[in-house]
Amino acid sequence: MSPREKRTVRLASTAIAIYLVIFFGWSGWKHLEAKRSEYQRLLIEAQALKRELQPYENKVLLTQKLKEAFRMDPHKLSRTTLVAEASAAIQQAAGSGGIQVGPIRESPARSSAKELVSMQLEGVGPVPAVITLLHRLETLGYPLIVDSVQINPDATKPGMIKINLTIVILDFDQWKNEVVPHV
Amino acid sequence: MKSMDSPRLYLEIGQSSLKALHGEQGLELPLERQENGRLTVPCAERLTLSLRAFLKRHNCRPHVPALCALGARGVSLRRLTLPAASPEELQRLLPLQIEREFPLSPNELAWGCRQLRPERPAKNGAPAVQELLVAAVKKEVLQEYLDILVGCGLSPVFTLAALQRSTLCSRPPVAYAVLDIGRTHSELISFENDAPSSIRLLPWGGLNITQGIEQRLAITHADAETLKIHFDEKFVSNGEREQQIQGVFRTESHVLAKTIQPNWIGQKLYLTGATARLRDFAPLLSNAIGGGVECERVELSHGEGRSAAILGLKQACEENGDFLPLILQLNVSRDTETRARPTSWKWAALAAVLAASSLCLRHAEVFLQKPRLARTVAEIKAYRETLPKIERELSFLQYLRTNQPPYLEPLFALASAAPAGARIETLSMNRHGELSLRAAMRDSQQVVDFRSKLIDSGLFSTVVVEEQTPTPDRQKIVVRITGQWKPNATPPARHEAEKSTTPLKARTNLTNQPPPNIGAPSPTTNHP
Repeated sequence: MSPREKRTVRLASTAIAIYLVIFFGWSGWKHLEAKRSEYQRLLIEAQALKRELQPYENKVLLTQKLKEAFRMDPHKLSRTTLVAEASAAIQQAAGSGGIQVGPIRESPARSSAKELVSMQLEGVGPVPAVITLLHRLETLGYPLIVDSVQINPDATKPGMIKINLTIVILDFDQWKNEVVPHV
Repeated sequence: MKSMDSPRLYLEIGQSSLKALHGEQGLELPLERQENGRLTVPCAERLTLSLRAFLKRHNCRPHVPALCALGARGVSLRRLTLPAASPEELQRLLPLQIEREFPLSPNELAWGCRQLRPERPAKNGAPAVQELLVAAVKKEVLQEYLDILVGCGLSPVFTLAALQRSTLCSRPPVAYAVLDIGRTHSELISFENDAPSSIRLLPWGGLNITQGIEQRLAITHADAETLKIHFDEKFVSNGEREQQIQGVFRTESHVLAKTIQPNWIGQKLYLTGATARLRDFAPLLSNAIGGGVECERVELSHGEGRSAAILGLKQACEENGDFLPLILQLNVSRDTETRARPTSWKWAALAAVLAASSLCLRHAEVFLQKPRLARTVAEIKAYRETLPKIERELSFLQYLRTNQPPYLEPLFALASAAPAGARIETLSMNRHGELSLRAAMRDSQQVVDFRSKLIDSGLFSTVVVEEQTPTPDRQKIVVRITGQWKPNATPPARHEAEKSTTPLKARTNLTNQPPPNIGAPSPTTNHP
C-alpha cells in the first residue's frame, strides 16, 4: 500500500473507532443511568420503610420485655392442649410449693371476654406456700388471670389455710383473628 | 542548540558498550545485541534501569540534554555537491539527493548534513555549487536508542563518534585518518582537507592481540589479557616472554595493516582506544603500514566513561559553544513529535483515567451498594409482614398484664395494718378490686386504727366497716369490712423505688416484682 492509501486506511479506522466509541458509549451510558435511577428509587423506598418502621421499634421492645416477664410466647400456645398443660402446670406449682390441691372444676368461660376456660381450684397449705403460688401463677408461661381469691382458716389443721382460686385462661386465638391494620 | 548551565551528559553508544560521562562521573555498561544488531530486550531494560539510577544518583534534572556519539556500524557517509540554494530549498533538495545516493529512502533513514566548504560562486558558465557531507543511519537503529534515552528522561542529540574523535588530534595534516581500536572491531575515519571523506569498520580489535598472546604463550585467555594490559608496566620480567609478546604485537600490527589501504590514511594515522595505549604499538603499526605513514597515539585521560569520542564531544562542545557540526535527526517534525509525545500522552492518559474514574465513582456506588440495598429492603419488607403479629402479641400481653390483679399488694397492706391480737377469719378478693374480710379484734379502737392504716396505705379507694358485732363474752368485736382497691395503685415504698427506673422498664416489671416478705408473720399480726 502506498503512504496515501495507508493514511486513508488510518483515518477511516479512526473514524470508525470514534463512531463505535460514541455509539456504544451512549448505549452504555443510558444503561448505567437506568441502573442508577433504579438504585435511587430503591434508596428512597428503603428510607420510607425506615421512617415507617421507626415507631414500631418501641413496640417490639415492649413485646419482648413482656414475653420475658411472662416467660411466654403467645404464638407457641396450642389452643387444643392449652387448658390441660396450664392445669398441669398450676397443680405442679401448687404441689411443689407445699399446697395440697383439692377439687378442680373447669367451666367454659365467656368467649366475649376472649377467655377459653374458667377453672376453680381448692387447696390447703401454709401461708408462705399460698403467697408463693399466687406469685408463681403469673410466670408459669400460660395466659392465666386469677379472677378471685378466697382465703379461710382450716379449722382441722392449725396454721394451715384453705384457698379457693378462680383462674381464667385467655384464648390467644381470638386475638389472632382480630384484624390489625396493616403497617 | 540552547545553552545549558548544568553539566551535560555525554554518551557513546558503541558495538559492545555504552559509556556515559556527567561532570566528573563516568559509567560504562556492556551491551548485548541480537544477530541483526538490535539490542536484546533484557539488555534494553537493564540499560534503562542503570541509566536512570546513574542520573538519579547525580541529581540530573528531567529532560537533561544528552549528547550522544554513535559508533560507525551501519553509518554511511557521502559527499554531495548541490547547486547553491537557500536553506529552505536545501531542505527540499537534500532528500532527493539522499534518495539517489543511499540505498534506503530518506524516510527510512536518520540523517544529518554539514556544509564542507563555502559556496563556490558561478564561474565561466558553471552554476554556483555547495559541497555537503551527509551521514545517515537506519532510522530504526536510532529510534531504539532514542526510546531508551527518552525513557530515562533525557533529550538526546545524536552525532557520529568518529567525527568527535578527530577533534582531539593535534596539528593534523591535510590528509589523515583516525583509528579507534575497539575490542573486536576498529573504526577508521579518513579526512581530506579537514573534511571527512569516508568511514569504515575494520574486523580487527584488541581481542586479536589477546588471542595471539594466548596462542603464542599457551596460557589462558585471562592471563593473556592481564599480560597485554600490564605490558607497559614492565610486568613481564621474563625477557623471552617479552620478546614473544613483542612478536605477537608485530604480527597483529601486520594483520591490522593489511586491512587498511594506504590511501585511506593519508599522511598520518591517529590512534585511540585501549589497545592504542600499548607500548610500541604505534611504531609497530607505522612500520607495518609502511610508506612513511606516521602513527601517533592520541593522549587521553583515563577513567570510566572517558572514551576518545566522549572527550572529543566534550571538547567540541566547550570550544564551539554547544555547536555540533553534524547532528543525526530522525526527522525534524517527527523528532519533535516523538520528544513531545511521551509527556503529552502521559497527561492525556492521566486525564482520561481521571474522567473514567469520575464516571466510575458515579456508578460504582450503584454496582457496589445495590445488591446489599435490595437485600436490606427485602428483609425490611419481610419484617414488616410480621408487624401485625407483633401488634396482636403486644395487645394480648398488655391485656394480660393490665388484667392481672395485684393480690399480693392488698395482702401485704392487710398484714401491715392488722393490729396485735386481730384474727382474720375470711378473706376474699377478685380481679375487679373488691375485697371483703371478716375479722375479730379486741376493741373498736383497733377497728378504727385498722381501717385508717388501710386507707393510709394508698392501695384502697374505699374501706367500709359494714358490721361490728361484739362477741357474746364481750371480749372481742367481730367486724365485716369491704373495700375497693385502686386500679394501678402502688404502695408508697414501691412507688419510690420505681421512680429511679426508666418508665418502660418500670411498666414491664410492674407485675414481675418479687413479692414482699408477707409470708413472714408480723409480730403484731394474727393470721387466720
